[in-house]
Amino acid sequence: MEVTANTHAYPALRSSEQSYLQRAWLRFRKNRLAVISAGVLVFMGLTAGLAPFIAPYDPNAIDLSPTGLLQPPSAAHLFGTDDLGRDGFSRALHGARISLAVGFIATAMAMAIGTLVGAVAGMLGGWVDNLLMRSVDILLSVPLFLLIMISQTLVTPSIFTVMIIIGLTSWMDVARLVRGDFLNLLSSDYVTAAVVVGTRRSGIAWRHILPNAINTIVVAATLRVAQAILIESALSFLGLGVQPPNASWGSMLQKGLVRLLDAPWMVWFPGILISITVLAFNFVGDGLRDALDPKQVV
Amino acid sequence: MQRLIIQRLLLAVPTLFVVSILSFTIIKLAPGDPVRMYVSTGLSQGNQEDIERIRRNLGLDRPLHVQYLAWLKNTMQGNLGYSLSSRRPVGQILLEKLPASISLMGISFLVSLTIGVLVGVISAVKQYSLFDYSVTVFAFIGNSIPSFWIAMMLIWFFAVELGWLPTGQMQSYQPTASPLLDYARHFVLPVATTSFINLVGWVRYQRASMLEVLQQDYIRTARAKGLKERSILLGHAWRNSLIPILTLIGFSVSNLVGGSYIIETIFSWPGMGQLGFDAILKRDFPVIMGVTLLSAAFIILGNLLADVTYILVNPKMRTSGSEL
Repeated sequence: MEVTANTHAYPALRSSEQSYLQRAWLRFRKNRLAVISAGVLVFMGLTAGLAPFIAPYDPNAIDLSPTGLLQPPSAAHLFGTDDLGRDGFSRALHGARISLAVGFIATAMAMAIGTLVGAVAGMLGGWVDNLLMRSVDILLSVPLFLLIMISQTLVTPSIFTVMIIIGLTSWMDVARLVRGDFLNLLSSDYVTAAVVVGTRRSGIAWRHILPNAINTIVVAATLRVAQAILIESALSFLGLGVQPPNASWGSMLQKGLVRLLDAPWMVWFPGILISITVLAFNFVGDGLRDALDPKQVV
Repeated sequence: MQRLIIQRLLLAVPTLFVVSILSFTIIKLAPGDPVRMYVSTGLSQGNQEDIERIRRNLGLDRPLHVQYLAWLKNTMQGNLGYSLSSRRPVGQILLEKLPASISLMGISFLVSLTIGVLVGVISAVKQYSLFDYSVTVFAFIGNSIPSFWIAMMLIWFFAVELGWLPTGQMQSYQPTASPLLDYARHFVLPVATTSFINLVGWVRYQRASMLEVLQQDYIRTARAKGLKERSILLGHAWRNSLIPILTLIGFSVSNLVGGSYIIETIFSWPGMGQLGFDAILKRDFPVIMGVTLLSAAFIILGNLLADVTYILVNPKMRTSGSEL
């Protein structure tokens, strides 16, 4: 009923062939902030990917001459230079690679673990569900950031350990969300139908429930990337993440903290970049949440 | 109802155990030999024999589970061990650092809650207004800026550029003004930072909950019988919208504790967060364990508080307790 009413309201969309994704895209497109944010992220991703070609200077090239050290932003050095005379803009470009890589890979790990735990808990129910969900409760009561910091002293801190540790410590709320979706969908008629015709449990989980839980997963993943970038920058800021001479936005801020007096630009730009990136992921995640909701009509 | 609360209390105990086992294992697996650290700060140069003897004396040569049980037994008796770097009892160090952390967290909590509730209510009452729209955008921005960057920008602007406020510490070495004013000046920036990052949550929750209440039938009834808008909003709507906010208070402890490590480190705040971070850098295991355990205890207590308030303020839970 609703759909017919709406195709009349939007004659251009009358085609009945429209797929779910097409309709989702139409809804997403209407959210201006989300579209702009997606554009920003694509741009960010491209510049990060092409950093070695775009960067005007070698990000680790040191220039200790009086004309190279602690230069304020200028045409030659868009973001100024740091206390070793390294070009802030080039370092920020290379830092983007690290932030985005950590964000995506840590999130991929968290999503994989969280989806698996949530799906198993939701599917099997009973004591397995109880055990898994109580473990999630307990892990969420742990001072996680402290644990991440301690874990970083376990290993030689590097970008890879940062990814793994963030991934291992941020899957819990994903597990909760996915379990919730599984429980909901398990009681739906089409799943009952699948059970009646004798589909195996793994088949039901993979082919019938997971595709319908994908919305939740995609939205959670987008917001998780934002969180992972924030955690990475905090760790690098504390010196427990990316190690010198490599640049990450967080480690650039760490160097800037002691130079607030004479070179405040060292903290301006990396902070703005972190904020914009995280903000963009949050806006896109929010836009996706609305767009992917199948109950919404165009 | 009582049974539910007791049930929650009983769940808190194993949680604390798991936290302690988890952190104990991680800490013990970490490289960096605490004995060598101990020796190099104490004796000038220990030979291998001395090092082994100290290791035996400290009990660090025993298997991991034996060490854990020994630590657990001592902790149960209130003995958290001695700091490897300052040789002072960990319990005593924690007690010294606690007031600074609690005052910072407490004041920030009150500030962010007050402003957050106020802004959230106005935003909900004037839904879709310019104010409401700006609040929504602000909430997104506030959620995306790293706390330590806010701290640095505040330090840069108010302490470096304007010179109005100190850059860190809790008091001056030689206070020029009255001690109270001196404290107050040192509190401003850390409190502003901590409040800012916690503010967003309160605004969003208060706005959502107020909007939901405003749609209820009893609000329409109140309007229909001609009550003044003011008393509808404050007396009927706002009071009911506070129920979910009350239950969220407990959960905010975890955010406050989690944020304290980085904020206290930036502001050289003499609290638990900075203590924990320093201890990690120094591999001071007994202190790390102490800070971890105390932080976890706070968070678990906060969650417990959240559960209990939920049960207390929700009339449905009072009669039939088995649903939760």
